[in-house]
Amino acid sequence: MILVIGYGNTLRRDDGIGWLAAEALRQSTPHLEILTAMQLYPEMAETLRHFSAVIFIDAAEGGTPGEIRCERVLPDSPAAASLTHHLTPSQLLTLSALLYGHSIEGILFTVVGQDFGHGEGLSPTLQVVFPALLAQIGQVTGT
Amino acid sequence: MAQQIMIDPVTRIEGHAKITIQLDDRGQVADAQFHVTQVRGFEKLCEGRPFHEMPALMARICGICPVSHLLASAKACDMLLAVQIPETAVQLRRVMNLAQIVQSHALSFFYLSSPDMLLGMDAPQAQRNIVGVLQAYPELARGGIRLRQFGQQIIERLGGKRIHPAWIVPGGVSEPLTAEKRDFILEGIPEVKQIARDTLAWFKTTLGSFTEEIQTFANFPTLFMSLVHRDESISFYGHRIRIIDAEGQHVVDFEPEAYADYIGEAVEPFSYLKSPYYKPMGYPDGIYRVGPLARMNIAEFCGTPLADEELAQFKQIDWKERLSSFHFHYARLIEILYGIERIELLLNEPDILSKRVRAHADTNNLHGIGVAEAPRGTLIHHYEIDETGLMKRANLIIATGHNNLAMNRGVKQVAQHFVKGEKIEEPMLNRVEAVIRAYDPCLSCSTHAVGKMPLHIELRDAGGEIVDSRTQA
Repeated sequence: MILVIGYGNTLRRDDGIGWLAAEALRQSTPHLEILTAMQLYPEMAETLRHFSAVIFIDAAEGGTPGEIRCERVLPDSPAAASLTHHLTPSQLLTLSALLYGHSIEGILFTVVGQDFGHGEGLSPTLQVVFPALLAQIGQVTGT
Repeated sequence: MAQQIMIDPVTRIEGHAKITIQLDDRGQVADAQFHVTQVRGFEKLCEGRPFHEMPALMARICGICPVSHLLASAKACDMLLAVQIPETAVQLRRVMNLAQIVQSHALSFFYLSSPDMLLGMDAPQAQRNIVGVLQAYPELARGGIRLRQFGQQIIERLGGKRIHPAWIVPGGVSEPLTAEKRDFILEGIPEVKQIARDTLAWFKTTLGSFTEEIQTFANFPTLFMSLVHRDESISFYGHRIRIIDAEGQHVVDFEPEAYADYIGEAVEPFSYLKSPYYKPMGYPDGIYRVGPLARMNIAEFCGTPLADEELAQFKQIDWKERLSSFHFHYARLIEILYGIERIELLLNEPDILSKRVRAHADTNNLHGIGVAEAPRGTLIHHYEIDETGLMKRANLIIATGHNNLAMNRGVKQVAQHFVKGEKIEEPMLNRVEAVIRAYDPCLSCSTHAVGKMPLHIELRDAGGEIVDSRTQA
């Protein structure tokens, strides 16, 4: 089973692309388990243990707006997982391994944002690449 | 020459603050101040907005306890509408608020404070964190995560999302509970109840290791304040506000709507956090504490079997020891157990699936006051509107604000006990932070500051010159 976690702030325009992509996948790909959140939090470590793979979707800063990146996520060293208010994907995998002995394959999709100002909806640049993002995720999930 | 120690920022609390410790000419602690250095000003930004927007807007004050703001705000709006909301709506609001008590207390105890207690106050900071707990005590850590998850899942099921749900509305709740959601929540009860019991059993075995902390962690006489139910049991929703004195004796009961007759709000130049006080005793003698310790010291009983056993055991502790803010931790754990038990009872009530969950009315009052017990203590929202329903004024008194005077005095007490000489030594730094964490302050709530909370201490001489400083990320 694959879990998709889309996270970000939909009230800060392009920061919400992870959330919006996850919601789109919820509609188009019912067999995927979908989670949306403002940020990653420690309780997700418990959720991860019920899945064999997790796909994270987030916005990124730096680089060319609209650029889609895909990278494998590996657990961090335990010392790096010390945050309490929010976590990175690597820290979350670390927590899951530490607490539940659960090893899970992780993939992180990020899209470089153009506009992180107040407001809802993606910038024109990210609206254009949105279908490509879903298509790339579909290739990974085999859908 | 007198000197000053400053801790800036304070870590593992919610928000941003610093601490100044003033030394006298002999190098002894003369005073201590807990500075909250940011302001958000929700009271001002809501002016001119329609009052029915307030619950959703005010919930944005905090990402940890939005439900309490939602609840206090909705109760203030109920008063503006002059409605008596359906009983099922009351019970559902209570379920959501208790779920938040469980998740917030789990965050405070397991994530923020347990490293000090499990790994030792003087363990290296690099290890004294939640990861150190995960590695050394994985079972306990899993329990903490599960408790928090349980509370968050209830909020999410009821409100549609775990942070900033908008389900509690003026007049009740926006939609009834379904049998599916009720059964999902009830299914998780046995597991989390056992976790809460196991944690309490373990915690009680550790108390003997913290004799010094119990004596010095803000252990001084103050008043205590909380809501109390009509039957004298603990309450997070109504009915009266009760104040007891430092001997445990009843001082006064008053209706929440009369809060301004009893609570004054002082402002100090060194902090954005207001300093509420009990008016009849004046400022600052009217110092009081709110939150889990206050609730445990005030309530005669909980009304649920396991929590009642625990409360009875807690009340066996000598009263003078129960003045120690270290026991906020103990009280927090009892409240987690109580919250789980009460949620179970509420969800098993026959009318809990009733479709009648909201009263509708036009504006009928120009003043509305809503009070609820938030995880950190009594929360007061007071709104004044014009004839068209637009907000003219809001006054918020937040749990962390009620505790401001006590936190300042607590820091001073710890510093007096642990500061040795003119250097910032690790034991003092750790314990000053820990005493603040015992209150679990939520500074985003209380001052409306955005943020996370690192800690900075400065040591200053009589002329104001910094002679030592330390920052912990």
